[in-house]
Amino acid sequence: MPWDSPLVALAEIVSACADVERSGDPAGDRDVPAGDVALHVSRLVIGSPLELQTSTAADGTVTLAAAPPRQARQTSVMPVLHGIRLIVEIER
Amino acid sequence: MTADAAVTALDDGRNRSWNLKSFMDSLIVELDRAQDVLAVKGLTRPVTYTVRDVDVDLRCFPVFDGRQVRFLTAQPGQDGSSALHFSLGSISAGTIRDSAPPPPEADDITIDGLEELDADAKEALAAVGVRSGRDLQRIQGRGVDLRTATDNKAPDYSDLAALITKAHRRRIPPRVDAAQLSVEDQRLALHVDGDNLAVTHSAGFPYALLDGQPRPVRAASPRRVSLDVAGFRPRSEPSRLTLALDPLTVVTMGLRP
Repeated sequence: MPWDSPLVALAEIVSACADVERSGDPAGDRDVPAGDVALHVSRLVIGSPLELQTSTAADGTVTLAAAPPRQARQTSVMPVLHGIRLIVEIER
Repeated sequence: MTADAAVTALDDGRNRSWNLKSFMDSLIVELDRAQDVLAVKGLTRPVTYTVRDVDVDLRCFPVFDGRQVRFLTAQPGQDGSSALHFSLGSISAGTIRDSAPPPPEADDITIDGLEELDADAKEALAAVGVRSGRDLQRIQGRGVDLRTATDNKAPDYSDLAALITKAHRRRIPPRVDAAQLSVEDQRLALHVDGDNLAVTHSAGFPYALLDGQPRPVRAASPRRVSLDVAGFRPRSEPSRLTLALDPLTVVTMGLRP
């Protein structure tokens, strides 16, 4: 994500992290012949620093927007990095 | 600069403080949205993954204003923030049903909706988990001393029950459509017909006064209240009937033939 890209809804980041099929090749996406044994990813732990913006409306409701760190280098004003850790598992 | 002044300086209008419940609500809404997206994918894929647990480390500044703790999210360039760590585990609908109190039903009166109750009393009741009339009945059944539990900030049960009955009555106001005289069991009876008349059972109610004289109530239901009016003679000028349907609802009407 480029450094000047806007922050997105946190839900988009979480669902993108759990979108394992698109980036990996778990057994579910492959045509495994009957009787063969295939490995698949059963559990993923994703930890990442996170830029997070909280916007509080007048009625007190909070909206969250987030992005992975957008600065590769240290600058004069560093963003505050929060953290997120997701545990992704196969849905039974 | 004092801590409060520093925090006020941080709360500059763009970065407004939030309370933990609002933050958790929005975080859970976001995570539920993500789960919904993944659930739709589960319909088309043989194997799908789901987010089982989420940990969030948040850098923020806690603020205590004497009533509640609020938080300001740390902004770029701000040092000295605190770490707030959330761990959210997944929970099944069945477990929620087993462990959480039932959600309010349509006819439930919430403590938050009682206009006559001040904010301190509402907060004190919420702090001990009383959010509806049903919660109140539950802890009353256990014999909890509500005034002691809320540090004398909440009224006692009978005052709260009166407020709840009043709020409930506001939702179902009584309506009188007609009144008629008839002879039943060789006695003169006055029937008052309408809707939402006798909806609660309180000792001594309904209570009726016809032209200032107490009259016994023969029967009472939400749609009809029947009075024993032996000796009553309709006159050309209106007779005044006052019906106290419950301790908080009094209906007065003029009757003429």
